[in-house]
Formats: sequence, structure tokens, C-alpha cells
Amino acid sequence: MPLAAARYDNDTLETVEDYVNDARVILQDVIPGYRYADDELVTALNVAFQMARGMRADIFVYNYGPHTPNFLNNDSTVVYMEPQFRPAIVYGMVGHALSRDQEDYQDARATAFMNLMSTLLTGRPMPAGFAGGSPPSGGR
Amino acid sequence: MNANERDLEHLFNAARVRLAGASDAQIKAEFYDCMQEFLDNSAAWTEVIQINILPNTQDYNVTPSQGQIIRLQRVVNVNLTNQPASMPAFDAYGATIHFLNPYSQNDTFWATVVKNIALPTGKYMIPEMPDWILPRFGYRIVDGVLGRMFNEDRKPYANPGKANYHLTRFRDAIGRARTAVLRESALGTQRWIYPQGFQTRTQRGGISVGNPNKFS
Repeated sequence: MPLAAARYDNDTLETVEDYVNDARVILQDVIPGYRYADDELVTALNVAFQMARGMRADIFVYNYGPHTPNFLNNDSTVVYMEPQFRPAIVYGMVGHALSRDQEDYQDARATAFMNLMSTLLTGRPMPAGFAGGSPPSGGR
Repeated sequence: MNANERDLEHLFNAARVRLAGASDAQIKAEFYDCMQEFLDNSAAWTEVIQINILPNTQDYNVTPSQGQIIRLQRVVNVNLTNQPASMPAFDAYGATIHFLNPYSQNDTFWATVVKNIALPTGKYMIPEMPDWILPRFGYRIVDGVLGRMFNEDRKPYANPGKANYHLTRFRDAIGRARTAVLRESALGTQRWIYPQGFQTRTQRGGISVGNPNKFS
């Protein structure tokens, strides 16, 4: 239970399930037989929280103390987060999920989403993005 | 007696609209720190506590009704004569008043103490505070919140120039509040009067007498 026990009157992106569902929409992965499994997106959510904790400790310390929240399953567990920061977490999730792909296009998308998360939280993009693994143009 | 919720929301909204991307929790935390600095430097929040003096006793524990004691302003007897005393020890909210010399008979003194806000705060991170603070000084306390938040690094609302401006206004507000307290909020009084904490009502150097108007 968050220390501040703030009650937010906005239930969009309130539970783990909400975050996973919204990330699937952005990833265009809404048909069962998913490309990104539930546990992978929950891990992406946890990683996004860890990154956000590094960028904006003030979002966490008054609600979670020294801890960073960690979720185990795609369920109805409530995620205590002020509404204005929830989209940034979703973008972080999507960026992390996309970063596993090796295609240049996906790397560019991953970087874009990571920068979006960073900009929303700190006002500036991340210092480095994901680099593609494709060979240089003209190479075999 | 506690801060009016409407006054608090007005202050927080003033901060929210100017601090794009700020978390509510941090605004409230900075508000707490600003209130601490304001009350500590201005000595605006005082309380008069009655002390029942016992023979041959020099130390008395006092506890405020709200907040925590940070300073002893003065101790007076029934004749409003200052009694030499100090405040050598503090606990979580109260303090110990130590009289220089023990008294030989029962008496009643009044100690004026300076207070500050204290943890724990309420459910929504708001500490106990007098209800007159925000109506009187809230519009300047928000400068402290804004200045401290603008002064942060790597935040969407970081702005060193605005931080300097608002912090200057905040320090000015502390000085004005301190002056207002010293003048007991009387408009038009002279800039300086003899410190009333040291006044005596007789020519006997502050020795307590039964009749403050004449020698009997």
C-alpha cells in the first residue's frame, strides 16, 4: 500500500492488465497466439518501472518508499501511479518489448518509444538508442 | 484548528499549473519543507503554555497542542515580568524549560514558545498547522514550493531563472512575516520599539511587585 495513499480519480491504466492490454494495442499484438507473451510484457512493465525509478525517484519514493514495484502476473493488481505518468510507463513497456527484435525498423521504433518515455518524465530524450544489427548497405 | 482544505487546494493548484510534469507527491513534500523553513525563520507560530511552578524545581516539560516546539521566546509571571529561563532539551514534540534559579513557592508562569510543523503528517501528507497561516501567507509560501521545484535538475519543469525569482520572493516573505510578528501585526507602528520581552514595569529592575502601577 503506497505511503501517500493518494486516491486518483482516473481508472485508465490502473491495473497490470490495463497496462498489458494497452501495450498490446500499440504493439499491434491483440490476436491470441500472441507474439509477446503475458509474462514478457509483465517483465517489460517491471523494467519500465525500474527505468522510471532511475529518471524520476519522486514518482516512487512517496508511494513506495525505497522500493520499486514488481509485478508477477498479468492480473488485476493495482498499479499505484499518478495519472500523468502512466502513458510514459506504457511507452517504456513497448520500447522494451520492441528492443528484443533485431530488425532496424523495430529498433528505430523501440528508440522512439524510449525517447517518448524519457521526454515525458524528464523533458529530454534518452542519450542513446538501440542500434540495428543489419549489415551495412551493399554488403552481403 | 487545521489548515482549510480549500486553502491547501488553492496553493497546490497554483503549483500544479506552473510545474508541468511534476508529481503531486513531491509538490506536497516540498510544501512541507517550505512550511518548515517559513515557520522556523519567521517564528510566526507561537503558543502560550501555562507552567505551574513548584518549590525548588527548575526543570519543567512542556508539550504543545499542535506541532513541535523549536524555541523559547520568553517566560513571564503574573506581573508580565520576564523570568530567566532556557530550553536545553527537546523531545519529539515538546521541550524542557530550565529556570536559572529555583523558586521557593508555588506560582504560575506562562511560557511563549515558537513552534513548527512536525511529522507524522495526515493521510494525504499534510501536516497539522494553524488555519490562519495559508490565508495570510499562502500566496508567498507557494513561491517557496515553485522555487525549490524549478531548481531541480533533469526535470521537465526545471528552470534556474524562475527558481531564483521565486526563492527570492519566498525569502522576502519570510522577512516580512518575521517583522509582522515582531510588531504583532500592528500597521503604522514605528519600525523599532524597545523589545517588549525585556521591558520592566518598575524601576526595580524587573523584580516582581504586587501592584504594577505603584509601590505599595
